[in-house]
Amino acid sequence: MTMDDKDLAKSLDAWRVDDSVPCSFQQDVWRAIARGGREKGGVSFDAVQDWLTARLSRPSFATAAVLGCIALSMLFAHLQAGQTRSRVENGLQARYVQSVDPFSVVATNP
Amino acid sequence: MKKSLVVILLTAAASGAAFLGYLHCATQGCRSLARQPVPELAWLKKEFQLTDGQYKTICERHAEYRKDIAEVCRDLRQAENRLESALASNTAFPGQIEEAVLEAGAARTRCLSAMVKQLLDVGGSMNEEQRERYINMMISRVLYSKQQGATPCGP
Repeated sequence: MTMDDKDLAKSLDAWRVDDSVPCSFQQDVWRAIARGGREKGGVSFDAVQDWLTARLSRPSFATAAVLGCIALSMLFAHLQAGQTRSRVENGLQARYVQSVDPFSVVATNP
Repeated sequence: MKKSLVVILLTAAASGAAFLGYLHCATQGCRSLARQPVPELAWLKKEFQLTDGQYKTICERHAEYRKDIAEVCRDLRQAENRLESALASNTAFPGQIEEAVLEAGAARTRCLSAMVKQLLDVGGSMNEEQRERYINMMISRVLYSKQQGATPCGP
């Protein structure tokens, strides 16, 4: 061991770290691990829930969401009603034609 | 969290109510049509925007036609049965088969004539525009479909 090595060893022995680990260090580590796991699996339910909770707490967003959903459901109802009307009317038209058509009477009551 | 849950539930309830309410109102017309005593004639009234007078006349003619056509249909069924029996029987003479064919043909002609007469009668109770639309619709649904399908007595 040279003289420089002895000085270095002495300096290293004298070196003390005064910094202490923060109290929440362990908790932060676990949180970081959990966050890492979530990021690997894509968008999580918790993230959506957090986002939704944050947005819905704003009255303007909540009102817009309610009105938007109502409008959407009315649009679906409109489409559904059109289909129902057309189905009923086609059925009644077929029934009328059948009531006039003697060949269909013979075919249905052989 | 609780507040957002309330908003979500409120949205779901309002959307459901809006869907059902709109559907109920928008299909009220066709539901009342289907509840009529003769729904097919009620449909005809709505489809061709018939007046009450026209509707009454058409209903009467339709009822008479249904009575008359029942008899014609019975004749047609009997004639077709006779033809079928003659064709199935090994003992029938060619003359008997020919007679059955002519009889069935005549019964079919009577059916067709009765139907055409009914179409013209109903059309005659309508105004010019309604009649044209009615006759065109019936030609495409009854006469033309028979030529296309070539199955005049059933599927």
